Parts: sequence; structure tokens; C-alpha cells
Amino acid sequence: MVPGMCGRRINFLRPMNYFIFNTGGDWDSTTLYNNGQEFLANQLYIKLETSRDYDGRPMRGGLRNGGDASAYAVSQDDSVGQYAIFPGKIDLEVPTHKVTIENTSPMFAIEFTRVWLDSVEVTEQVTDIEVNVDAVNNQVSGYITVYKPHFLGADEVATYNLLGN
Amino acid sequence: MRSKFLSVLAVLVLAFAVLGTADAQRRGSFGGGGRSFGGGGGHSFFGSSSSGGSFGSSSSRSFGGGSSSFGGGGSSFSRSSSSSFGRTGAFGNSGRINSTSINGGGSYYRSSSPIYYGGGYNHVYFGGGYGDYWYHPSWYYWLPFHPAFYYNQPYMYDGYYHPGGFSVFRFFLGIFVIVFVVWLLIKIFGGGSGRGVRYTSYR
Repeated sequence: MVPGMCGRRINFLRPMNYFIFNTGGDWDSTTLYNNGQEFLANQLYIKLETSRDYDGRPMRGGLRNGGDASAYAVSQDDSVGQYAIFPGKIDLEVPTHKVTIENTSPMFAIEFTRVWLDSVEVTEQVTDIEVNVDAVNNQVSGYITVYKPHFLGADEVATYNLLGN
Repeated sequence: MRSKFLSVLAVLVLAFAVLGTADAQRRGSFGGGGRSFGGGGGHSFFGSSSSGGSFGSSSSRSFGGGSSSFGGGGSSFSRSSSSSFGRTGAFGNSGRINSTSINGGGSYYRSSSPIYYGGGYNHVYFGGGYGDYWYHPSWYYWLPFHPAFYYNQPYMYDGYYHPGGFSVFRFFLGIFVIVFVVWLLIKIFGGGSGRGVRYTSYR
């Protein structure tokens, strides 16, 4: 057997991640599940940024323009360390919104990422997502930004606060 | 943003001027060209043609009768008096000038034959301005980019149609429409920084 093949096969057969992050607005009501089992984590971190125009401003097109993303959960189990969320799917359920991010490509290619905001797909409008739930440092922040083109009137870059102020 | 707005506005003003000038030339409103005001044959502004008859006569004489330039008789230099030109008194005689209209003078010229307007054939008066255009309206007269837009429809008075005058309401309406069109063009085609982006935040 070629070294590494076994591990790769096991990884390939591993069920796709399906994280569900839910919070009511405080630590006591905050939970993180993966495939139906609670995932004890010190941190949940998601950052997605789509490409900008030449002046560095957001532009229409969303993830069609490409971009960069990183998403992981830091387990309380030191042996696990950073656990990649993708390939897979995560639901971010906060009191005011629900955001779903999905990328099922094995290599986590950014162009296969799809995003829903409140059950409406915003894959081609999203410009930024950042979620940081850091229990160790007691820091919570999160937002999603979408680009809304308007036929008449100025285009809109709308930021929806998910967590924190 | 401002430069684009000014550029589009300049293009519209230029188109306005060209359109108005072209129509004016075609219709003889500036004294040449057409036969609207008794002159014939001229083809340039203010009737500078030699056969123009700018004051209404269709003949070639300019001041008085006969074929000579300055007086009657067939001979220009017959010395029948002390005058070098054989005549006494003031220049010319009382040659009749038929014209009833001088371009832009505000007079009216009645059509020689009825024209079809107002649902039938009627005698009309031409005023020499863009108000006359409405006797044979075209669709683009309804656009504020044509000068005729700013004139009212002809009106019936004393059995004749008269051209409408300048309309202040249409003037302001035209300004509004032009500004709206410019604004719309900028919104549609003014990409990049011209569009502007509004940043908003929601909870």
C-alpha cells in the first residue's frame, strides 16, 4: 500500500461536516454542533472576503469574483487543534439572522462556496463574512456584507451585524 | 461626477443647437431658403442672395422701376438735367414694396392657399418662428430637444389660425425633462466612481 493512501481514503469517506452554530446572545445559550454531536470548542473563526476592484472597494458579483476564505473551529481537545469546517456546511443561527455557508469541494475551492442569508442565496452579492467566537479571550464579533446593485440610485453595500455590537 | 454631468449636458446642448439650426435653414426662418416670407431663391442666412428679394419683390430690381439701377428710363447716362444721372429729386421712385413681413419683425404672413390643419383646410398665418412648425407637426416636436417644443399649438382667431407663442410652462417642463434625461444617463452608463456606493448597516 502506498503510504498515505489509507489516511486519504478514510478522510474521503468521512461524512461531510455540517456545523450548526446557535446563540441566543450570551455564552450560556451558545452551542456548536457538528453532524448532530456537540463540538466543544474554544473558538469558531470564519473569514471570507471576495475580490475588490482596482481601488479596493467592494464590487458587484460576489463570489463570482473569487476571493479568500478560512474557516475553522478550535477544539477544546488539544489533540485536535484547528478543525477545518470545509468541505462542509455551517449554519450560523443568531437572534436576528441565519447565515448558511456551504462548500462541498474537497479542496475547498472558493468558487464553489455558496452563501445564504435568511434563506435567500447571496452568493453573488456577498462581499465579506467574518465571525469570531473566541471563548478563551471572551470576544465575539460577526457580520456579513452584501453588495446590492440598484438600477436607479447608488449601489448599496449593506452590512448585517450578526454578533457583538 | 460633475465632469460627466457637464459632458452629457454639453452634448445635449450641442445637439439642440444643431437640430434647431438645421431645421431653420431648411425652412427659411432666418431669411434665406424657403419662400415663407416673399423672398425667393435665397439660400443663406439673412437673404444675401443676389436674387433674393429680401423685401418681398420677386423681381431683380432693387430700388424702383426700370431696369437701371438708379432710376427710370432705358438709358442710364442720358444727360437731360444737371444731374449726372439724368434725374432730379431723391434717389429712386416710389417703387412698391410688396412684402408684409420682415424676418423676425413680428409681422404675420397669410398663407396664399389653405393648408390642412385643425381637421380641415384653413387659411393660416405664419409668424416666422418655431410656432409655425406646428402647422405640420412631427413627432420630434414633442421632444424638448427641438425648439418647436417650446411653442404652443396654433390657435384659431378671427377665422384664421395663428401660430402659438412661447410657452413658459413648456420651457420649465423642458428643463425638467433634460435634467431628468441627463440624470438617467449618468445613472445607467456612469459606472465606476460616478455611480457612487452607499454604505449601510443593519442589525
